[in-house]
Amino acid sequence: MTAPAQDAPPAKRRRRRGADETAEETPPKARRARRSKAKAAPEDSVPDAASPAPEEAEAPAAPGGPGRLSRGGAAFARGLRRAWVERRTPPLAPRSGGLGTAGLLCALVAALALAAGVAGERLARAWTAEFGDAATLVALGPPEAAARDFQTALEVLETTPGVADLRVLEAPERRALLAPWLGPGQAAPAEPPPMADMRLVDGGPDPEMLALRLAEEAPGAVFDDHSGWRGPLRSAADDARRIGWGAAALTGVLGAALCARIAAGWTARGRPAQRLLRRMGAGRAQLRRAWAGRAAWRAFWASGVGAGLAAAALAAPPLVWGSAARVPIAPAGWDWLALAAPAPIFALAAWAGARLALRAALRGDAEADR
Amino acid sequence: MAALEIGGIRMARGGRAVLDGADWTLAPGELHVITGATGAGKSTLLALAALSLAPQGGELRLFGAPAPAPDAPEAAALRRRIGVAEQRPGFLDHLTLEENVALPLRLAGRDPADRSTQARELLDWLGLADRAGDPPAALSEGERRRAALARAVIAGPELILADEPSQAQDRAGVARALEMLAALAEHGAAVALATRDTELVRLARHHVEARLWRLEEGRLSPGVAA
Repeated sequence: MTAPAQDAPPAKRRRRRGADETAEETPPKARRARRSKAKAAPEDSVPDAASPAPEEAEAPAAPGGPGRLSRGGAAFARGLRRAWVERRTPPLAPRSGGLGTAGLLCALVAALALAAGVAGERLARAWTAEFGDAATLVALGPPEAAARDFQTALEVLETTPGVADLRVLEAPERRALLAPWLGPGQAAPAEPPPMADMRLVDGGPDPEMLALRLAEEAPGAVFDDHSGWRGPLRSAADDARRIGWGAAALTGVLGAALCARIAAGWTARGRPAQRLLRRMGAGRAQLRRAWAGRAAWRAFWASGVGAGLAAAALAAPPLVWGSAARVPIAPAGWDWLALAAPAPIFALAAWAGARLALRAALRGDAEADR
Repeated sequence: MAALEIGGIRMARGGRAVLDGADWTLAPGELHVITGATGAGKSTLLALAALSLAPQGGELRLFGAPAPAPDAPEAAALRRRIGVAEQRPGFLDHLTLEENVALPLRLAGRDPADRSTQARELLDWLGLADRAGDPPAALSEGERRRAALARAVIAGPELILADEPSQAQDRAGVARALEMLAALAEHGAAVALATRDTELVRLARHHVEARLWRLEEGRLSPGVAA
């Protein structure tokens, strides 16, 4: 051999020295192989015919088999331990090629659109709840006739199905109701016409039957279920709701599609690395974890940051400049949690995109092998 | 039980029969050197043994059992028992050399500290200790081949396949690589080298216990190719 004596290969030196060989003379791998066989735990050992590969070892227990739960728990603990141990090692898949930036920006826009959707829904509900099921009764004409007709109409309404919470308004309430119609500086009369308000239930009374009955028994009484303006109001509320949710859905779908597309492209570009890892014995589960898992994780965190930025943008103005600066689409209470919705959705989309691309790559490789 | 048994294997590439009824048995503890001209089918033979290709005919047995198809789920576990140093080794460019060399240990679920120690030890032995933290793109061709060899043997595979391991290596490097493979064979691994390097063949013939084969016209026979 051409190498000097002190650099001679361990195997040759062993032949020269015979039984005097020490462990230090063998190449590192040979020493390690012996050591690891002695000390490694079953799941950590280099797989051989008797010890299944990591992903096979993690396979779920047979249905109904004994200790299924405990095996599942052990597999989960093993996964956690591995994730903890591997937390500082660089991932097998390279950088995810813009997925983080796209996820962040898309989540920012989607969270703002979601806030608009929630605000539209809130507005629509408030309008519907406030005016949607209210009705009023007013009696017009000379005071005596009006009082008589009002009393008769109240008796009619009390026995009419679809009317609840009938309440006669006091004089100050009636004056307050009239004030907007009289205009500024015009005093309401001391004794406005008698009025009552009520709530309509089960779709309210039959309007034609009620009108006929009131015309016959209390001709000066006017029943107004506000249908003249309630319809347009409901329509406006529905429009606000549709616009808000539509914007949220559109940005959500576009963001998810973009995340899936970027993740798929990134996974497809990693094909040489996937082939290399397969040749070294990486199983499909390991490749899925490396690419689809990383894409999902990255999209999740980037989208979370984007949603957090959106939340900060909505929450900051009132905190800095006072409640008057409140952003109209800012959520309230638990509605803030809705802004986090893009994170799991985009993560799922990125996972699906990477998974499909990986499946196509593995299928292509399998066909090429034949 | 033989690590690798090939019986009457046939393989055509680009319309040309590369392997045409080749027979070969490689047992644990043996070091075989396969020689042949360029295009004789050496790399194809090793790719079949590494489960990178499926034979078009004949029988391929690994560790006493019929070899599965390359895309079969059970192929992954078998590949972990095989170390392959390819003719054009690939690396993960975003990882350091040390992390690349330790990849088989990582895939086998070994502890990061353990695999780092092992990779450094092996790189040191192959004269690459000072490149451990470098990206693979910064390595010379010879260094990449040595690193590929380190990666092939680090997990203690039962079958080691090295395709042209001496290419782009100086004589000392060739000798050191051959010594390592011979030592691994002594410790029970089945080792096969494919080469057309006369220097490697000379070393294998005179300095280690190796069996020489020549691959000609798609068949293997004892001896050295001209």
